Amino acid sequence: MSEPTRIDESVSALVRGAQAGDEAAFERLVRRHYGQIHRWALARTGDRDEADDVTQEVLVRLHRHLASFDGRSQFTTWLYQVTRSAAADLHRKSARRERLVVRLKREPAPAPHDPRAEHEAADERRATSLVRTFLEELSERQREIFDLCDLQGFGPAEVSAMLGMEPVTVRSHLFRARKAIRRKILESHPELVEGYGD
Amino acid sequence: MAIDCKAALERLLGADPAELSGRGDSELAVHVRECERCAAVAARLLEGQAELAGALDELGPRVAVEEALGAVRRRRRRTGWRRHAWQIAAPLAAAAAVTALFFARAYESGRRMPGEVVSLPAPRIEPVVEVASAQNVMVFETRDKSAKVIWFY
Repeated sequence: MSEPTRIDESVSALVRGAQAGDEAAFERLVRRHYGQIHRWALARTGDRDEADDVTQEVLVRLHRHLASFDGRSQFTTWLYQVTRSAAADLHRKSARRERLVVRLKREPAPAPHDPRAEHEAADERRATSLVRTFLEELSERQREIFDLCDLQGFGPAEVSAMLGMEPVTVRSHLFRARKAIRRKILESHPELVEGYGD
Repeated sequence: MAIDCKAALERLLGADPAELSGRGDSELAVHVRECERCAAVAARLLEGQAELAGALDELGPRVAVEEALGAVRRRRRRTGWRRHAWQIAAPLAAAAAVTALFFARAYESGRRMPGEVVSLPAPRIEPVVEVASAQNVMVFETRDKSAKVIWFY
């Protein structure tokens, strides 16, 4: 049996404490996973406003249902499922489905005569374009799988457990998502792929 | 090199990040390690994904965690109050329902309530004999239930 990592032990201790009614443990657990929950919600909903709402709802559900976490799966797996469920419920409730308006909170476009600023602006445009592709062109499944596997570094087996999907299905979605994102990346660097078709 | 650059590019689009980094023994990883041009493409793909991850991080929660926790506490208090209210209201409601049912059934069947003061109607005395006015009469019971002694005076 493999030794649990220090992080896992710490999370387990926080979970046990929170389950026993220790509010401080609950709040530490929330602080630890808050950003991650939001990121999952964003990947799931594709909408920043909805992600904020889902995150808040997840915290309420976490407090209400933490006692039902029996430790048979990893805490992150269970938490991800809570997030998915909250996102699905919110989506059902919400009659409106405003599509994403990506507003990256970055500096305004710099003056064109400054080469360094121009370079930064180009980077920003590329990043914005990638985010748009990620949020608008990938399907919900592709988005969450690509984010979990390639951007957040979860292993395919863990992602399969999180999503309750067969590993082969996870790989299939991941493959399609990678192709879409990477084609978009290469679109902004045509010089790199010149001559490949020869 | 077992695969050419054209095939490598196609595979790079769907490969694992480890292969893009040239790690492992797959044909693609070996090609990336040996081909400068494909290595540059692979590096750019990894950079692009890192940029995407960074940009998504910037779209993080707009509500600070302390604020979100405060909202949870407020909601919990409201829910807790409601739960306590139910703990009181539910037995009261049940008791009221039982009482109402009891009264309704009692009303329908004409039964008396426990503890109710009972005023019985005065016993009706059947006339034993008919007597002319201004004449007195006394009736005496005997041991024989079928015989009575009647004294007119």
